[in-house]
Amino acid sequence: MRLFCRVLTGVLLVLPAVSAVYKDEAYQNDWHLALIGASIPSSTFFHQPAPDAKASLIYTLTSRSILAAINPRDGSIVWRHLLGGGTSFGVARKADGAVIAAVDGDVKAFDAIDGKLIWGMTSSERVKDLQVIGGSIAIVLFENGSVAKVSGGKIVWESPAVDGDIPQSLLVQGNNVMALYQQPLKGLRIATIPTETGKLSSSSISASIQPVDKIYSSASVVVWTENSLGQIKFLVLGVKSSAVSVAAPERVVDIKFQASGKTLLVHYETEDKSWAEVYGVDQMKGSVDSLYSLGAKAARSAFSVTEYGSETYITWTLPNGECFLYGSKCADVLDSYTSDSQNNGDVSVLSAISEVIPKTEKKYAVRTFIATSSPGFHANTHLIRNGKTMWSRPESLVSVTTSAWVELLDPAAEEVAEELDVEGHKNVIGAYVHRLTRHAHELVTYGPDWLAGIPGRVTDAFLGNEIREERGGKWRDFFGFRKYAVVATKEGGLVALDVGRKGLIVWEVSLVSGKDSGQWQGVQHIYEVAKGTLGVVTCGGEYWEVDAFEGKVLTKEDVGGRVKSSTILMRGGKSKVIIVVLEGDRIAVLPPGSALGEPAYIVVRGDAGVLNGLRVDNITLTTVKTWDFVPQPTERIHSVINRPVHDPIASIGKVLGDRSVMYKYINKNLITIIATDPAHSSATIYILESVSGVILYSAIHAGADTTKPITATMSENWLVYSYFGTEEVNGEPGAKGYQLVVSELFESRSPNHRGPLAAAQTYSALAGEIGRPHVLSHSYIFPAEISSLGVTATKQGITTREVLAVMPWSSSIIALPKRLLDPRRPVGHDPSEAEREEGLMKYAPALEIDPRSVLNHKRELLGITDIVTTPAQLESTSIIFAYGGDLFGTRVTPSMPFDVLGKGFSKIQLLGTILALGVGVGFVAPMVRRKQINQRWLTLS
Amino acid sequence: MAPHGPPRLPPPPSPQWVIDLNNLPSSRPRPNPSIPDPPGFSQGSAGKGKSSKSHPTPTPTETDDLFLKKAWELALAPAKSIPMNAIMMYMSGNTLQIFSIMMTVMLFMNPLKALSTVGSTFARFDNERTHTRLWPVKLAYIGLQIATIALGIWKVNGMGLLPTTPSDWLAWERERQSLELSAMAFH
Repeated sequence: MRLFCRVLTGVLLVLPAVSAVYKDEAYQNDWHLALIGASIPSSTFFHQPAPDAKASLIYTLTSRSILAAINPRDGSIVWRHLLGGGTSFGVARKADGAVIAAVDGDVKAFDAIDGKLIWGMTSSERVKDLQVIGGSIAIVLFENGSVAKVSGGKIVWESPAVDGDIPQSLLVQGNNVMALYQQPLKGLRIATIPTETGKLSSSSISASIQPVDKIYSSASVVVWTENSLGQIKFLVLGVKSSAVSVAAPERVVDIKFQASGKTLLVHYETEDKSWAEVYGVDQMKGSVDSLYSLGAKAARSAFSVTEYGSETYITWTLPNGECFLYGSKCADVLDSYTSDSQNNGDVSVLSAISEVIPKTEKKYAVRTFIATSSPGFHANTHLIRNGKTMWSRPESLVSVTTSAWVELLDPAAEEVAEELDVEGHKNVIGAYVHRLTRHAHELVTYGPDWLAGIPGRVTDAFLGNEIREERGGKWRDFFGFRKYAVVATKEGGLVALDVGRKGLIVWEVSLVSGKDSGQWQGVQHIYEVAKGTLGVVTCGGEYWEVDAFEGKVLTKEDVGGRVKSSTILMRGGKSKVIIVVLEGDRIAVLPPGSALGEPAYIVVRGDAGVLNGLRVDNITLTTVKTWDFVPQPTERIHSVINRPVHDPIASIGKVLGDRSVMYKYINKNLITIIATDPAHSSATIYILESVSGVILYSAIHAGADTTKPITATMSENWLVYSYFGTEEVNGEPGAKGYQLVVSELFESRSPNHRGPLAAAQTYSALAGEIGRPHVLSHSYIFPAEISSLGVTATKQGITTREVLAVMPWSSSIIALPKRLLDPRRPVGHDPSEAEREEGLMKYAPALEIDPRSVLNHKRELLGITDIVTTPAQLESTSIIFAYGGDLFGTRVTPSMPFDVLGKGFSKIQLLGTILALGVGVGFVAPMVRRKQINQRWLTLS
Repeated sequence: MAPHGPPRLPPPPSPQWVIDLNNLPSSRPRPNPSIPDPPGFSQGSAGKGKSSKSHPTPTPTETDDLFLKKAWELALAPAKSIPMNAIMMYMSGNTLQIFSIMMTVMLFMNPLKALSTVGSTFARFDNERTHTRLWPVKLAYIGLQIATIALGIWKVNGMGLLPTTPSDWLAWERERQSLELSAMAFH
């Protein structure tokens, strides 16, 4: 017996615990738009991942510090890495089979094929420039001016800086590396350092009294502009010569330089034209000669200079997609490509890199990777092959700031709505006749098609095919999985994404025009003001109404001042009113012409970091301050959270194991204020009744790291928040780590008691005592940082809720069942019979990350800041959309998909069983009958 | 006027076995006294008829007493099964399983059936003399059936099927509505 037990234990230990989903279950409902952001032109290049590789990849470092390898064939991301915190400057260079990138003080070399880290190095100084000398050895110029040689992640030598020098750039010439510094009031200093020894060999100063605007260096020449783009100066390196000065043309607004080998291109931009001057660098004589100039064409174009073999090519990409190819010798067009793409003329090409491969008979294969900018959309990237756009990446969506859900129309209800309206205005007989004729009409119109479609539908149902959508566009599907998420970019673009169709972009519209893009202050909020109509409030004080299905701008109004904040008031039914708080606490009501109806209460952020409750008069729109929330003198308000607008509660109480009820403290007007105190490392949580301003509950967390994210979410009668607990709390050892705290509000401490208001149907927070909640809390240690929290939403609120947490550490979103975070979990003892019946587990302080509840599976979500949810038509399902960097969408079923047949349900098997049973009965019935008759006769005899 | 019909035939003579059956001798005459009785046969055992013959026919009062006695026995029969049922119900637990559900259903079905047939159950003891005296018997019978039903109700309550706690009425309770609605304009 003992042996048996041991064997059994052994077998059980060997059996792996299920800790993953099946491969075919993943990526069914979720979609992911991996975005990288705006490419830094000088750190973007075509590069062969391996020396013998036939195809090259596009490598780019973006302004969001993401280093990515893009497949030029289809625009997919081969690999990408988030380096550093985000918006800092970085530099990336190609190396043999590798890419070396530096962001802040980190220098890292990645394998060019799979993006694996080869080596990394961290310095306390920020990196200014980086050059690669053979293999993957890098020379790094730091912000303090020192130069270092880094090989295999280790510093080989370091050349110290000279005080007062401002480092500019680094270039490699033969066995020497040259560092360019700007010396205030003296000029440009060029320090030459042999790469072998690292000892400064020479230092020369090129005098220049004028302040330098822009500096560019290639291996052979340094070129810069002076006198506010008035003068261009060239300095050939490697020879003793002085700088050559050229006057820049008039009315130039921008000058860009591009160089490759001995060719230097100077790109001029004026308001309405752009052209280039091509120079040849003679290193023997130390001179720079103008070779030819290209005639002016449309403004805001981009040039790229590339080498193939011994030849240098120049490609010129115009905003309308036209492309011209030149050689380095003369201004003759080698090849030109027209484009069929249409644009409104507001597009500008920010940067371009090209790959030119000559084919036979003066034909060329030209691939150009460009970043464009149009009003509202910054840095979308495209690949143009011989004038044709092969693919585009919507990188502008990396800067989404706000979003709104758009409900699609119900095809069953929408079409007959008018007809039903007609029926409502007729007498009974008339309505009946009308309905009969309508049905007859429908039978004639749709009947034949419906009949013809039966075989297809039946086979689809049996073969488990996706249900074919009968109507797309603005008509929703049967289960309501399709909805539009309308997002606003920081630059003022509005984009609708179909979350049910893997994030397909349905329409795009810009709220800014090219002229006023400088004054753009961003979208304050987007609201769905009516069925199919969006109201967009901008910070600058505009109100736009946009058709939600087509993206057409319907109206544009001036609100009358800068917008501080806004909110939508939904008083049941159809009436939706946007209340806008303008500078000086003036109130405007939108859409124009709508009225408040009755006085409204709003919560606004006041001056000097306080929170105010205001009562808005329904006629005069004047405000009266009803309450002030002033945090403690050392505290400041970190964030304010409220319950979601759509947050239905199916049951107002929680049934305990002994069948008594703990009544939930339900109040739509609850808000949570998180106040932090950096000086004392503490965070205070306040729960307020926002009509009366009464503080219902507060909790102070001493030893909370205020530099780490503190985030919270509210739903029903509970609040979940997370913070980082420090090692020491009030001089005593604390639980260091990320804490997830859940607080649940109940009407009263004792079960079956509904608080002081008892069974009252309505209450007024202003009229009298509304009772303080009884709050139960539990704190859990969570293994990772949570940067943002969300909560699922379903149509009726019957389905249990899940708390959604964005974990930047693992670039993922996890769904935690609310049941797991129940503050009634018994502490220190196993659950009793009644507690078990309630589904409570014993409290365990540490929560573990269950890989099955990671919504994005293996996909990496970078830069997610917000997570929004909306119900589907199915009660079991909640739709999730996350934005801020990458875009991600999925559907979750917190209580399992109880209202829809699963994929494993085989209709064929069911029918087969029924048929088999029928056949069996057919066979057995005569036999049984014969036996029964025989039995009667035999017993008689 | 006599109806005309076929000539009425006299009934056929009964067969011998019917005659024999109808005229059973009160006691078989000894077939042959010379043949000895089989071993173990005693004359007394066959003397039932004789002894009954010797007893006087019971008087109607005696019969009524007997009826009532029988009726009481019948009425008190459920009392014996109540403790057994109670133990079974206690043992089967309060979980909803097919067996406990079936047993509980039986606890209701049987008494209800019995209650609906009280009259016919005691009909055979009922005559004009015993009628009034049967009332307590019937009441006791009804009382015991109700006690069995009560046992069933206790069981159902134990199973949590009776709406006796606030949680059962939770679905009818409404969320309290606030008269004021506050809109959050701090984002």
